[in-house]
Amino acid sequence: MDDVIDVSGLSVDYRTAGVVHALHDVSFGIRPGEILGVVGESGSGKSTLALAVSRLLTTPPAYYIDGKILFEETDMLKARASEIDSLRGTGMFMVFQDPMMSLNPLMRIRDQIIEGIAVRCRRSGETFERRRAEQEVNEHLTSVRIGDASDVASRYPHQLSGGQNQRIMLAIALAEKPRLLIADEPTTALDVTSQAQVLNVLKGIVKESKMAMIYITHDLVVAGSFCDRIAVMYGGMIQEIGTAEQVMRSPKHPYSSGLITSLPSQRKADGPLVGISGTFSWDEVGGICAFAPRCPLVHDECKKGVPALVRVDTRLVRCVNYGEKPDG
Amino acid sequence: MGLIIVVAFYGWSLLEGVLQFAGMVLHMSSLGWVLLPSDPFKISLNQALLGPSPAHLMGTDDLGRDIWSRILYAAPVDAGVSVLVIGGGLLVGSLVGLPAGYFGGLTEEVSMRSTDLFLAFPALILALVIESTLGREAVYAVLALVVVWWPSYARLFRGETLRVKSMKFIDAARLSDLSGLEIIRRHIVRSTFNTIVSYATIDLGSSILVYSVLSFLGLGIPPPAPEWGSMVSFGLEYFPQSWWYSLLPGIVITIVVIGTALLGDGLRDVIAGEQ
Amino acid sequence: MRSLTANQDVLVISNAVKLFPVGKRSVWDRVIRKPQRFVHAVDDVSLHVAKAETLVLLGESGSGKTTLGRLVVGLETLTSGRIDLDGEGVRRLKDNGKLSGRLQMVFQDPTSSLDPFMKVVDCVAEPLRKSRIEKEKISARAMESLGNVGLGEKLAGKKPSELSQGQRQRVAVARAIVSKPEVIVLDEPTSSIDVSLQAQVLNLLVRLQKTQGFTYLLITHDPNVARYMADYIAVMYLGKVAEYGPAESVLGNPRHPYTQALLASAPKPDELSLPKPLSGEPPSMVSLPKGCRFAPRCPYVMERCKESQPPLFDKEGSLVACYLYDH
Repeated sequence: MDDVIDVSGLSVDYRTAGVVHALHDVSFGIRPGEILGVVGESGSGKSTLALAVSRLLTTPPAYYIDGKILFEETDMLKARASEIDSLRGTGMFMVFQDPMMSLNPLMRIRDQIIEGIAVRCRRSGETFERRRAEQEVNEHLTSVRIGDASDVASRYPHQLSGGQNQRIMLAIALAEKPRLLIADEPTTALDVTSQAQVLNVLKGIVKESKMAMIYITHDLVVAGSFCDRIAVMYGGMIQEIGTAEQVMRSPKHPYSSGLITSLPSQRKADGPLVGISGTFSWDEVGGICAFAPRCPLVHDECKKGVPALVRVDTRLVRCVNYGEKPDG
Repeated sequence: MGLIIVVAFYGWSLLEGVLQFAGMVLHMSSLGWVLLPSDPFKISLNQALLGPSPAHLMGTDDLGRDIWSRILYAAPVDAGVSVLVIGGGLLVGSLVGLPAGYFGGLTEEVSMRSTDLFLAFPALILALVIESTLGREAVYAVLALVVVWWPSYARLFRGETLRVKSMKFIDAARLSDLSGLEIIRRHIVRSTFNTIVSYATIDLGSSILVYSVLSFLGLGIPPPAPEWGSMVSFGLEYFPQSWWYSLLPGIVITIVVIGTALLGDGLRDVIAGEQ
Repeated sequence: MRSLTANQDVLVISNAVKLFPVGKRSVWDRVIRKPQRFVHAVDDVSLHVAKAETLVLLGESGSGKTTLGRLVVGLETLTSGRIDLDGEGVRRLKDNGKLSGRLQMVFQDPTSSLDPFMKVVDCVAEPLRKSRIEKEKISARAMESLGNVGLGEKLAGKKPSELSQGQRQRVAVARAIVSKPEVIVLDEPTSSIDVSLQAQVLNLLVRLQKTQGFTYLLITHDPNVARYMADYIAVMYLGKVAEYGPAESVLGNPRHPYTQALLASAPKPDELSLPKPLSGEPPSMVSLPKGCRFAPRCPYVMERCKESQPPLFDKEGSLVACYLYDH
C-alpha cells in the first residue's frame, strides 16, 4: 500500500530576532488507515510540524529550508496555491487545538457541517441533497458524542463550550471524509470520559474508511492507546519513531523513557517520581544532541554534533548510544 | 519615526512654553520669541503675503507676519491642550471605569449608563456646545474636550479591568486579604494603563486635530495670538493664490498627528510583545 | 470514617451547598417574578481532611470540584452549610480577620497566576502584606520560600514573563506556602504543564508536606495524579460526592459505577488499547434529573435510582452514594 503522505528530511526555520530551527530532518510516512502519533512537550515542534505539512505556515517568519512533502502524488512544497487549496478538506483536513480558530463565529453549526458535506459531494461527484445532508449533520454530531444534536446544530460556536466546539471540528472532519486527518491535541480540552468516547469514534472511522491520521499530543499514554506508531519529538527533531508497543514498552531514547517514568503510576509512598530534570530552552538546540542538557546518559560524544537517526530493530532512534557517530 | 516627530514636537513645545510662561511672569513678553526666526507679532504690511523664501520659510500672512515663527510660537498651545485633554480623560476615565469593572453591580450600572449618556452626543457638537456656553477661552476648550474624551476611556478601562479581573493572580491577591481598592491600586492599575497608554498616545494627535477644528471655527484663543487651526481658517480667504498661508499650517498639524499615531502603533506592538 | 493516622481533622466540610443563578434577569423578569433558575454547583457535600494528609477531589468538568475548592478558601461564599478550619467556621474567621494566611490556593494556569508586572519575590511575599511581620523579615521569608521550592535567588528579581511554565508554577507554590498555611487547595496544579515538569512539581508537593506538615485539598481530573498524591479520594459527579474513602479502596476497588467508568476511561501506561467509553452525556447542570444524577448513564440503573437520590452508604470503610450498596 502506498503511503498517503511521505515526509522526508523536512527542516523549517523560524527567523525573527534570531534563527530557531523549529524542525530539523523530520521524516515519516503514513499508510491509509494508519495512525501516527506525534508526541512532544512544549517546544518540541509538533505543532509546527502539523502546520508545515499542510502548508499553513506563514513566510516570513517560517522558511522551508530543506526536505520534501509528498501527499499522494502532489509535491506539497512545489505545488501551486490553487492545487493545495483543492486538497484541503477532502484531501487533508486539519483540526487545530483551538477550535475557535477554525469555526466561523457567524455561521450556525449546522451550516458549517453542511458546507463540509457540500464540498465533499462536489469533489467526489456525489449529488448534494439538502435534506439528506441535514440528517447527516445529526449523525456526525451524534458520532462525536454531542448530546441533543438537533439543538446544538442550530446554535452558534460561541454558545457552546470549548470541548463541544472541538468535537464539532471532528464532526466536520467526518463529514468531509479526508484521506489524511491531522489533529493537533483534539481531545486535550475534553474530560477523560468524553475523550474516551471521541477516541473510540475516531478510531472506528479511521479504520473503516482507511483514513490516514496524524495525532499530535503531549500525552504519551493516550498516544500509546490510540496510535499505531509513535514519533517522539524533542527540540524540533524526531528522537524516536516506532510502533506504539515498541515505544511504550521498550523505549530506546532516554527522552522517551524519561517521559514514561515521569508518569505518576505509583503511590507517593513508593517514592518520588523519576522524571526529567531541567527544562527545555531553544537556546540549547543546535549543533549538539537537543536532549543532551537534560539527559541522564549524556557523555562527550553527544555534544559533538546532531546524532543521526539510526535503525534499531524495526525502529529509528536518534541517540549516540546506539552506535554511529553524529554527522557533525 | 513617530518617536522622532513626537519628541521634537513636545520637546520644542516644552521649551518654548517655558519661555513664554517665564516671559509672562516677568513681564518680558519678548522672551517668548527669543528662539524664533522672527517676531511672530510684528506686523509689516509691505511684507504681506510673500511666498516661502529663505527669509520666511513658510511665507508671510496677510499682515506680513512670518508664518513659520507663528507656527513655532503656537506649538506649546496644541501640545499643552493635547496633554491636558488626554491626561484629564485618562484620569476621569480611570476613576469611573476601574471601579465599574472591578466592583460591578450598581457601581458598574451607574458608571456605564452615564458613560453612555455622554457618548450619545457627537463629539464635536458636544465640544461646541460646552465651549460656546462657557466662553471663548482655551481653558474652556480643554474642558469641553475632556468631557468629550473621558467616556471612551471609561469604557476601555472597564473592559480591561474585566479582563484582568479574570486572571488568577487577582484571586491570589484576594486570598491575601487585600481589599478591593488595594487590589485595584496594586494590580489592576498597572495592567490596564499599560494597554491603554498605547491608545492614548494616538489620541494625543486626535485631540490636537479636534482642537484645531475648534480653533478653525473660531473657538480657540482669540487673535492676535497665533494658533494652528485659526491660521488655517484665516488663510482660506487667500487660497489658492497665497496657498502657503492655509496649507502649510495644515501640513504641520497633519505631520504631528501622524507622528503620534505611528508612536502609538509602535508602543502597542511593544506592549503586546511583553504580555 | 476515621483517618489513617491519629491526626485531628483540620478541615471539615458539612452539607455544603452552592447555587449559582443562571441566565440574565432583566428588570421585567423581576417584575413578573419569573422563577430564577440555579446551577447546583455543589449540592450537599460533606468531607473532612486530617492534618498533613491529602484529600483528592477527583472529577470531571461540571463536577463542582473547583467550586468546592474555592468555597474552602473563601473565594466563593456558601449558599448553605458549613466549612470549618480547626473547629471554627471559615466565614466567621474571615470576618474576624483570624483567617489571614491560614488557607491558600495554587491555581491551574501558571501564566495567569502571577501578575506579569510584579517581580517574583514580590509575588511570593504578597500573602504577608497584611500580616504583622516587619518589612525586612517579609523579604527574608519570601526568599526562604523560593528556596524551599527549589528556585534560586537569581530568579527573585525577575518578572514572571522571564520564567518557564514549570518555574512559574513553583513560584505559585512558594507564594502559597509563605504564610505557613494550614490547608492548601491545589486546583489542577499540573494540568497545564508538561509531563516531565509535572513529576517535578508533584515531588515537590510531597516533600513539602512531609517536612512542613501542610494539609492538601488536591483537585484533579487525572486518576494517575490522584493515585500518586492521595491519602483519601472523594469522587465527585455533578455537584455531589459519588464515592469517598481511602485512596487504595477507591482506586483499587471502585464501587460506584461512575468511579468504575471514570477509572476505566483513563488510558493506562501499560495498556495499549483504547479504554472502553462510558455512554451518554452528562445532563445539563440546571435541570437535573429527579433521582440519582448518574442514573441516565448507569449500566446498573434500577427503578429506585430514578425516584430519589441515594444517600451515602458505608461499605467496608468507604462511603458510596449508590443503591447497589443499600443493605
